[in-house]
Amino acid sequence: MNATVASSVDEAIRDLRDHFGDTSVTVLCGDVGGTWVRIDNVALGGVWTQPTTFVIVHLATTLPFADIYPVFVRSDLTRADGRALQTPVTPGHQAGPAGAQVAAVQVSRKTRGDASRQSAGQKVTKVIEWLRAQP
Amino acid sequence: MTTWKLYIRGDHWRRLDDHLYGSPGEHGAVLLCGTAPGGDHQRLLVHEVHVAEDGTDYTYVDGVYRLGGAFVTRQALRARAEQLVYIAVHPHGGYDSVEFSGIDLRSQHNSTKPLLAASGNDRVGWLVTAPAAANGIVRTKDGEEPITGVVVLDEQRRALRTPRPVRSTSGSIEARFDRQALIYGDDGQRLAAGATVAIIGLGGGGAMLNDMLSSLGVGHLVHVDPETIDITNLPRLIGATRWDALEPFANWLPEKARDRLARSKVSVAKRVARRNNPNIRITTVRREANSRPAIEALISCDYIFLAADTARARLLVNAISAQFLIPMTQIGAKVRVDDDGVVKDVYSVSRVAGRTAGCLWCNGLISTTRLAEEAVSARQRADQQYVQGVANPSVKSLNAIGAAWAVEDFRDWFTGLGSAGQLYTTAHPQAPRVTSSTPRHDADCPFCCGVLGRGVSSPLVGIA
Repeated sequence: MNATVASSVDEAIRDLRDHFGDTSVTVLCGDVGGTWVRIDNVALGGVWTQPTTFVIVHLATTLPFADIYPVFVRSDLTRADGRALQTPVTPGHQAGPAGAQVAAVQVSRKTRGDASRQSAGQKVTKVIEWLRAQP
Repeated sequence: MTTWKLYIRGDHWRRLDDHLYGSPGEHGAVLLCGTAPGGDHQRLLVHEVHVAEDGTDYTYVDGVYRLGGAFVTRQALRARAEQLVYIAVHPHGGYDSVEFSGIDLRSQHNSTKPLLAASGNDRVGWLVTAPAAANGIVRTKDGEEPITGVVVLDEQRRALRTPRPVRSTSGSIEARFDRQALIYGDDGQRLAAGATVAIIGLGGGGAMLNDMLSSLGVGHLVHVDPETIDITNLPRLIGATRWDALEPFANWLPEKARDRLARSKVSVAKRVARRNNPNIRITTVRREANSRPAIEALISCDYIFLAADTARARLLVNAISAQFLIPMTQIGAKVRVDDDGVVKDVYSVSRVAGRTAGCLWCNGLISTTRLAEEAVSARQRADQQYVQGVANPSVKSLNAIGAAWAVEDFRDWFTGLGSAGQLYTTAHPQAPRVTSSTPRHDADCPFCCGVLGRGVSSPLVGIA
């Protein structure tokens, strides 16, 4: 039985490296359901105080059919205008594999429609661009 | 000796049939097939149909019809590229019996080695058809293996085979099935006895399916469920006793211990099935559907019933259905309750797939968000504040509606009586109304087009 399920996750990791640069993407840990991946030095700006953030996502073994959701960013994310974070951007979460989790802000942006039509890099880019464009 | 059956979906069959019989004269085609293990036979699964154009790809030379060299080469190379088996097909006269001619056999003998080399496969085959029969051969470099029949998966399931089976005589069916054999005949009962049917999820709906299918006389059931019986399951699980759930010990045995020590759902299902049919064969997989033992059991089935409500199970079974040409029915029941506890809607569904184009993915019935949610741990899901651990309201009578509808449809389809079709049926008992719709189909669906009939030559998504 040909069971190269991990190849879909590998492909997603390669795509993230294509989008964000080889050295920025770190594979944290795999588990039964997928693999945690961290991307560093992702540019922010816009309404956010911090110029950059990390991004942590879980890549499910059921990619490309599973959504990449939610996306986690730095835990100290704040708005330059001092306003509180609002749903779908929520503080006080934990991201990453069990035993190595970090505090994080969760960005809950689901993909509308067929998630398999976008790559991992496209999905993460879309979420970050949405974050940057917040009023 | 290895024997084969060829499985073909209805839309492919209609295209082939139309080409072979739609105009005067003899016509030819090539089928490119995936393979899969079966019960008592191996399976060829049609992934592509390539018709040979008369006069160019299929010519009449020196009193003999033959496929043109360029066409054969093109299809053999495609078989190599896609890791599929090349099967040439043409029609003969006759109706319910068909054989290769001497010319056919000589041509096969001469072509085997070059075709094996060109297609890069260890097997090539030939099929000859008549309107109600089919006969074929798969050749390897060392010998030959018969294709004993063709199974057409369509609105109505058809089997073409040679030699034509002797009609049964009454009295050869077990007495316990006598009343139902009156509905679909001894042949239909015999078909049910020869069927291998999987049930994924032996909760309320699955237990209903198990009871009905084993009572129907299905010869081999495959049960897939990792869970044990819980006290809250007892009102809905046919055949489950309070001792199975360790209810008499509830006051002093901790819940975790009860959960570990209680009887498994597959064990209860086996007991019920054997009670209904002592001669039934049961394959038990006390694992998740996407575990290797479950998948190995599922890909040899003739039909799959999905009664487990996770997006992962739907994705996996949808993939297996398309990739291994195994029709499926998904059942479910829902009681929608608002925040004040008021029942807003009650319905039971039965959704058929795999007989024609159009699958659960095409119809948006596999949630990409739920796939992501189910991939992380329960603790992570809680942190992400997904609604979880809230049991769905559930009742036996509601489960029975979807299950009965599904089994009735399966029985009619599998025994050749003819079903209502590949439909999504929803019953709203409170309304009361029943609605049916024909599922849509995406021309570029990765499942019912992309991996259709690829069998073991393609990886399967979502294996643990």
